Amino acid sequence: MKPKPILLSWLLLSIVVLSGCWNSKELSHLAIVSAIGMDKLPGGSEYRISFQVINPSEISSGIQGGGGGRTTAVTVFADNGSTLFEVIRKITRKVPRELLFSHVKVLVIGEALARDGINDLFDTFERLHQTRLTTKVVIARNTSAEEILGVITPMEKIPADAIEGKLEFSSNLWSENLEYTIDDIIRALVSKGREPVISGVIVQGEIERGRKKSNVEMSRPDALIMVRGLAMFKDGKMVQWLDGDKARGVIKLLGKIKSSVEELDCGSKKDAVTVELTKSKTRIKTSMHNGKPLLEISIIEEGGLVDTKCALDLARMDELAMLEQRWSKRSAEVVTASIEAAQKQKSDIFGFGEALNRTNKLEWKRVQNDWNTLFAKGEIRVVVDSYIRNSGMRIKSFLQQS
Amino acid sequence: MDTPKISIGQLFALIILFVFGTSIAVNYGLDAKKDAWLAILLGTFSGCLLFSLYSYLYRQYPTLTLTSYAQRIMGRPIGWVLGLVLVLYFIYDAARDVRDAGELLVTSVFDTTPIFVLNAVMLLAIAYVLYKGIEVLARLSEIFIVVIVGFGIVGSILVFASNIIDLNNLLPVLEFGWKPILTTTYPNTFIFPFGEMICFCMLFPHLNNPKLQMKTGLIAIIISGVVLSYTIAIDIAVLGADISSRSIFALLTMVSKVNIADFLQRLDPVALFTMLIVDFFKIALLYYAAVIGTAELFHVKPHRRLVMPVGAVIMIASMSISGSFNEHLLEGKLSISNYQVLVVIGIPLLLAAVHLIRKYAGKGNR
Repeated sequence: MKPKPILLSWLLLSIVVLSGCWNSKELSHLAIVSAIGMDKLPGGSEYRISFQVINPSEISSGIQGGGGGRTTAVTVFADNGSTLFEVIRKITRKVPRELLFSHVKVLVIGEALARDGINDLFDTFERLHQTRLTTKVVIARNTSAEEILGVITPMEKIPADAIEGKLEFSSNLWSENLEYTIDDIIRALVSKGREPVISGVIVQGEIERGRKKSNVEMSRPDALIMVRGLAMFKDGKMVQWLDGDKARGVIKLLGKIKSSVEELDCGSKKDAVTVELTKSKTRIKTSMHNGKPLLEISIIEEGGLVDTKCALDLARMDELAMLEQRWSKRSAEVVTASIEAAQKQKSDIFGFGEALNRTNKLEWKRVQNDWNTLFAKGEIRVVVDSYIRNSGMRIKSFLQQS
Repeated sequence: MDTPKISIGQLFALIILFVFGTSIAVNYGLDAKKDAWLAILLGTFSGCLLFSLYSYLYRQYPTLTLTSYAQRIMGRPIGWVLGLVLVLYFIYDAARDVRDAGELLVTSVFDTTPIFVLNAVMLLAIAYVLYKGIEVLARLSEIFIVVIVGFGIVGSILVFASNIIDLNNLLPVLEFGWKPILTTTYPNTFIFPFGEMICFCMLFPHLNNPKLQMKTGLIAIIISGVVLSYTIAIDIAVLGADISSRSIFALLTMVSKVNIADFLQRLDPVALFTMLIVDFFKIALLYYAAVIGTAELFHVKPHRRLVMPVGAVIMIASMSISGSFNEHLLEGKLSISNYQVLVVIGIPLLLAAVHLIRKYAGKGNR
């Protein structure tokens, strides 16, 4: 074999290349950001941006343990600037390590900023390679994002994980919220036929005391972050909070409901029967009739009866059928109320415009520029089919025996 | 001459990897917005026609490469100049793809590594393979086609399983009619990557089974075109036409959304790996075509002596081709619709026409 020098030069070259140290970042020099908060500064165009940074020694569970228990699990750093990136760099004056954004779980937007408009916030998130589109977005209700980030939470050491968990499970099991990520919001902002909705979070209790580690050293924390309500947007600006049934109606219309709880009347007793919704499918269709949109919604939902306070004979089919009818009627009312609330604000958060584009793209092209006004005049037609598939481990209620 | 041989299976793998090169990674065909997948299918169909033209020329001269039969058909001086234009095209196109790969790495992972180093590493690896001969590249393709198909299948399953696909993002079909589709297809999804397959004309003489060349080529093109169309459709279904068309590497952004049970996530490296592998083959084939072409034009033997010099030219070109990635992308669009069309369609058409004229006029004289 002749080409020994070539072989040798290859081997030497690979030493340079394979070590892969060019872009090296030492873990001990990184500060992992778990959540970002964005607020508006009163007056002027600057933002106040806060970062919830994990204190690694507090997170590592005990074996080496050195230094654990000295500080809170996270520290919040904040600074002012006109763009996110400016603050990311500016904050280095306060943070002893380089911020790492690959693990940002939650982006919190202060309510004041949300009402001022969120259109300008997301560009950097798309551009930087560290940030991910799958970061979940919430609105800090009645407070600032910085305050939300500062609350120390029980059960999860990292407050961002706590927010994420609450968001996930309340969306899956209670369904008055949505786990919307950055790309969901960008899609809604870009689309002419849809407006975004974003879940809200509030602090229950005393924010001041929530910042201390002592907040989690008691069985009933002084401050607790709670997921509550849906913020409705119009043209990138938040216009209104939707709560309770109205919020659930929105989730139902968006077809994002996974499981939920529905209360039905039983005779004269109000909310005496509880149904666990287990499956729900929503179809929306928009068409134009005489210059007015017709919004057709068909919902098919299934569930099981889980609680009753009245003497129902669930062995009889007509009783069940009556319950199903009542459920359908109630769902239709809830959904209608949600649409009417959105129509009042002229904000098509449900994507009826997109639905029109799907069925009649020519018509859509004519009306897309004043869709929001047209949507407000739209006629609503809801058809709900509800099915109660079972009643848990019992058939008749013991109430009926007595 | 001991010509290296390429089997028909290897040709199949090479074509598929070549077609995926860069196109599967970038926001390919997304000028047609939601209908990008249609534009790609149309491009594939047109690509088949173009490939038939290349195959026709090959059948006339089964033992010669494109640059050689260009001289045979057009005569020495004109044919030689056409050959030179083709070689320059191969070098330019290879340089573009090297730059693509480098920019991909810089924007997605190695943000502080100089792009020169990334390009150089890529080119050195390819140069080594080509130095060992085209057979090595062909055998390599047999291994990596399996890897790519594996990635594709696993990736698809993961995307479907994480429930991020919203088919409503693809509706309505033909939102803006046929016009944007046609303007995207001609020349964009047509030339890139199907027109670039002209570099295979430098490879065909090595086939061990020339009879199956056309059939294999067409099947490979159709399969890769359909897969490409499927991939872009998934990009759109997950991200929406707006985000996909604005992202430089739509596949990377799409895959970053995969999340199965908070356990399987952050699959970006898999997408990155796919893109690099397919780009590797695309660069290698263009690079090889450039080396062979140069060797034939300037009578250099053996051609491996040219691997390093041509590589150096590609390297320099890849750096100097544009000042920013944005300029690089814009230049790509402009060059496809002007210069590249002339080279990959114009020259073969001219050759075929002159060949036919000579064939029948020659007969008449006799």
